[in-house]
Order: sequence, then C-alpha cells, then structure tokens
Amino acid sequence: MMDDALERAFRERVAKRFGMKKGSMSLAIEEAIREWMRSEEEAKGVKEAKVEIPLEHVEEAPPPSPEFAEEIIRASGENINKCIQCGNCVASCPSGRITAYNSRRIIRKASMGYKEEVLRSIELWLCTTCYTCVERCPRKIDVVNAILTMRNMAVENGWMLDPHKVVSMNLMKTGHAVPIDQATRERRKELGLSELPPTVHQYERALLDVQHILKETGFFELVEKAQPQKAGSA
Amino acid sequence: MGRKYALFLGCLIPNRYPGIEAAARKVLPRIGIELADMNGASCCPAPGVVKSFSRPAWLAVAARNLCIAEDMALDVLTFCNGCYGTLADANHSLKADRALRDSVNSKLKEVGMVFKGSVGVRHLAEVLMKEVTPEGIRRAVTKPLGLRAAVHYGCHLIKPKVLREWVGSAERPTFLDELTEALGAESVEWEDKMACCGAGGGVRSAVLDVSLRMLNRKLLSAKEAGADFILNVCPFCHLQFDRGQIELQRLYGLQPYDMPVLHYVQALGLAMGYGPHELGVDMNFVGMDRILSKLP
Ligand code: SF4
Ligand code: SF4
Repeated sequence: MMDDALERAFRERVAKRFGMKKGSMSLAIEEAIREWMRSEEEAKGVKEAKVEIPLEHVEEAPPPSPEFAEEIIRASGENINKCIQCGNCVASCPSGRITAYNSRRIIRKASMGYKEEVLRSIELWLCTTCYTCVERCPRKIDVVNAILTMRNMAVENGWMLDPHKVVSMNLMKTGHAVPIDQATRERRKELGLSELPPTVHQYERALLDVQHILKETGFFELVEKAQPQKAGSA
Repeated sequence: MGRKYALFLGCLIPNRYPGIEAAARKVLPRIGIELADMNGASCCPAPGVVKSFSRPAWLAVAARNLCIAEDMALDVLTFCNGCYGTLADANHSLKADRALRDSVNSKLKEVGMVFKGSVGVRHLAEVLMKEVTPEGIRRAVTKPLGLRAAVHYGCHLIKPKVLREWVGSAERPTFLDELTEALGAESVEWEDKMACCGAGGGVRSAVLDVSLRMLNRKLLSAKEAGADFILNVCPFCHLQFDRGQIELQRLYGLQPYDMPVLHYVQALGLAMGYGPHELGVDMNFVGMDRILSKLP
C-alpha cells in the first residue's frame, strides 16, 4: 500500500508533467521505475570511473632520462629499482579497483626514467595514501613515500592541480587548510564552544609565525608558480 | 587516575564538525582524560595535500605544532587520523634524524621555537584502548546503544604499521571493535570494512568522482551488512561518509542511503546519556532518525 500523501504528491507531479489525460499515470510510473533501476545500477558501482586526463597530454614523449630513478631514490630513500612488478600493490589498491590507476606501472615508468610522463599524469594524484600496498609489498617498497616524492617533484615543476592550489592558499592565508565558515561559527556557539577555536584563528601572532615558516620553506613561492591545471571529473 | 593531554584540534573538527569537539570536551574528562588547549596551533598540516606538495613545509609546520605541546610538557592527543598521521610520523622522523631536526630547527628558531623531541603523539583510540580500556568504558556507559555499528578504522590510524606497534594487526585490527562493543553496540562484519573511504591523498579535493566511487562501495557494503550507522574515529572519514552521501545523491541521482555517521566520541556521549543535540549529532548532513528512534 502506498502512503496517501506520497500518492497525492505523485499524482500532482504527473498532472503537471504529462497532463491530466489517460495514460499519464502509466507513463509516469514507467519513468519512475526506469529512474529507480538506473540508480540501483549506479549504486552497484559496477561502472569504471572514467577519469579524463586533465593535464596536457605529452604529445611526443620526451626520451627517458636515466637520472630520474636516481633522483627519486635519493629524495625518498626508496629503491624503486627493487620492484619485481608483482602487482600486489595494484591488487590491494582501492583506487585501482575503480579506475585505470596502476601503482605498479607508475613505479616501472619511473624506474625506466619517463620523468615527464609520470610527473604530468593525473594518475600520480589518484593515490589516497591508504598505505595498503605498503603493508603488502614483498620488496618492502614504501610506494606512498615514492609517490609523495614524485608529487613533490611535479609541484616543483609547477604542475599542481587547481583545487590543490586552493587548499594551499587557504593554509597560507589562514593557517588552516580548511578554515572556519559562518555556519560553523553559529554551530560552535550553539554547542557552547568559543565562536573561534583556540587555534591560529584566535591568535594572530601564531598565524604570522606559521606564515613565516611557510615562506621560509619555500611554500608560498611553490604555490604561486603553479600553472593552472584542471582536475578531472568523470 | 586520570591523565592530561595537549588537545590538538586540527581543521575539520573545530571548523566543520564542532559537535565532535563539543562531545570530546564533555565526555573525555569524565573518563579520566583531561584536555588542555594547544593555543595557536594550526593545520597539522594535512598529510595528503601539504605533504604531497612540499615535504619541507609539511615537516616544519608539523614541528611547530609539536613544539606547542612540548612547551606544555604534555603528550599530544588527537582524534583525527590525518592529524595523527602527520604529527606521529613527523615526530618520529624528527626524533630519529638529527640532520633533519637541525634543519627544521634553523627555521623554527626564527619564530622563537625549538623542537626537542620531548613529547609523544597519541590517537584517542589508542588512549581509550590502553589507558581507559574497554572495561573502563563499559563502566561509564549508562545507556548501552543496542545498535549495529559498521566500524571504520580509517587508514592513517593503523598504517604504516612500522610506526604504530600498538595497533597489533594492520590487516585485521580488533581494538576499535572492542571499544565499540563496550558501548553496548554490535560491531557487524562487512565486506569492505578495511577499505579506504576514498577521501585522503588529496583525491577528494581534486578528483571528487573517484573519491565518491570508493565511498559508494563502502556504503553499499555497510548497508548490505545491515548496519544502523557508521562509526569512525576521524573527521575527514566522517565528512566523506556524511557529506559524501548527499553528493552521491545529488551528482549521481542515487537513492539516499540515510546511513547515520558518528565519531566515536559522539557515540560514547550517547551511551553515557548525553542528548544528541549536546553532542552535535544533529549537525550532520545525513539525518539521525534511523538510530535515534532505536536508542533506549
Ligand atoms: S607490490 Fe612492490 S614489488 Fe610488487 S609491483 Fe608493487 S611496488 Fe613492485
Ligand atoms: S597507498 Fe595509494 S597506491 Fe597504495 S593501495 Fe592505497 S591508494 Fe593504492
């Protein structure tokens, strides 16, 4: 049995959309069923997420630079050349499960010296740093450490995704990657908390110190030189 | 009994889910955990984003936060997995590597600070397990929840395991299940229990679509297991589960899951007899009706 109010609301919508004529009801019901089935299908998450390649394609791949692997090993302390391409990392990867993201391939390409291809690909940014692969790699390679090192190199080259630039600017401006907003100020008061938390939000001097440290470590410069790069949707 | 900690708030707890902060300030002192504010602390900074962009900046800002606790001569307490990841790992590196420490200290000197390596960093779950113990929690509970919980550990709480010996097993940990059962709730088995929620590593902010698809698998799995709510110990996982449900609805037209989401301190508060409003559980995007009607 259908809930009365729901039925009434549904009939009103049907009249608005299909008119009061005969057959409107069955048309509407068919559409509703179709919608429901579509969303059930979606909910199964069976479809692969399609990620557009948002960074510019590298039209003609530049020749590999053998020093790239050395650079990564030096900066991260991870010997990526130890990788035996077993794919354990990929089998464990929550991101690889739904996208074409493949950590094994990134490690291999890096080891072969395809610097630009690796550093400019969106794949580098699809790792959630969940560390599952790190726990399971038979060669004890800290894949996250290697990936973070390559991300640092990408940003060093000015390749940073736009939304990441926004988060960074928040940090530079307020000392919080996620600063307070108006709605939360109100909620804090309702909960009997101070309107602003006792963080850099309350202590201006402390904010200046954080900004000083960010400048001294080159963070401001890094973010400012980042070129616009769109992030992917699907 | 009772131990005092330097409370590290981070960003998401005070600035997005203040209910978690309010719950902690009310509930924790009553089970022997005293909290002292770390005045002037900043973003930890977030491991997925800031550490991805510049390790030196990440480490120096983290060190500054640790210095605040050192000045208070108290161990840091956090109930965010991201803050825990950053502060525990940075603390470890700075203590272990003299050259690194010296280089960070040369920056900190300019703001009148120095990292000494004199305090530890603890996640609330660790303190509850080791110091309060599930038995201690059970004693504090006056209104056993009687709900089915889908327990979500999150990643940085338990991994990388080398720096978190207290965790036991990173593949099949049990401590959070024990702490949850101490609330009079049942911790259900669910297929995707140990999977990442999809928020971390800067994925949520830059590639929302991929992030939400990871989340959807988890939600489906929790629903299939017949869970009444998702229990977490991290405001970023909390945000992903809570706001993410609305985004799945809005962006993909999915049927609402209506799956309530509680941080452990909020669930603890409910079990200790606090009202939902005092704990800010009604400030989530997803409504709580499903569990509030079932509570004793
Ligand atoms: S699990 Fe380790 S050895 Fe195997 S492919 Fe991945 S990185 Fe290479
Ligand atoms: S840490 Fe990154 S690469 Fe490794 S399993 Fe998790 S998402 Fe995949």
